[in-house]
Amino acid sequence: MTPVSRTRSGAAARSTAARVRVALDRPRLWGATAALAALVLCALLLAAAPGSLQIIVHKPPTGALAGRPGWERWCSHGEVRLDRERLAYCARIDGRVVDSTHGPARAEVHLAVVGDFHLVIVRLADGSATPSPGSRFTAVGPLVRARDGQREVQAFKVLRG
Amino acid sequence: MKWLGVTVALLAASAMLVTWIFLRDRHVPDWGPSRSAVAHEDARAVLASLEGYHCHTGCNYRLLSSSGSRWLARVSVPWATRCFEIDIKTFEYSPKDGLSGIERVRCSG
Repeated sequence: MTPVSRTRSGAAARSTAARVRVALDRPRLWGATAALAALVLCALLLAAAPGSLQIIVHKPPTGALAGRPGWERWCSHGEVRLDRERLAYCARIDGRVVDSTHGPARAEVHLAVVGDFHLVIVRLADGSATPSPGSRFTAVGPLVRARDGQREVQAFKVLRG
Repeated sequence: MKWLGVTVALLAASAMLVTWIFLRDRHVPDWGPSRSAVAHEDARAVLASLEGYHCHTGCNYRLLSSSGSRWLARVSVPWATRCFEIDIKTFEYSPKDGLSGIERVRCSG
């Protein structure tokens, strides 16, 4: 490369950088996008924070009623599926429905519920009505590992939603 | 340009929040051998314990099904076919103590 062509290519690079700087120099536009991004982050925090996930790892001994939460009585009101890895005796998820799916079987309904910054899949009883996205939802049941790796509550009882 | 940086930082924070919620309780597969590979290894150990390591003909095993960490294996040696439920989490074989984490079950079908 000759000194002349090197000078030319350097000038071209400087001119491109200047053009990019001018194109990005829009303080009002970036102020608006920053406000929008702040709103998005706040909305995410507000959607994911409310709710709770309570887990009872082992089945309490029969007769030991002291300190047991009221919802625990629903933990044995159903048949636990055996085709999934059992993670805990029982769990109660309270959160917001973010998505729902039907299938693979016709009557099968799954929900994705976010509460207390946890994402939990909830399998409803076959043929149950599907809560709308955004609604508050509470369910109790055994905690298993879903096929996709997330934690899944097999809803023996829907307390809200 | 300052607000551009703020926008990028806020969007990155949102993306990180969503990713964290998605991944925090998710099961991350171990880096070790797959469950299937472990089950095959355990079934080979069962076969070896039945017939020794020098069986060349008529010795084989087949993994029939699995449920969690429990695998059903059909093990055949020249003189018998037996089925076992192997728990790959607890299975152990030692020449001194023999097999553990395994249960003999009836072969169906």
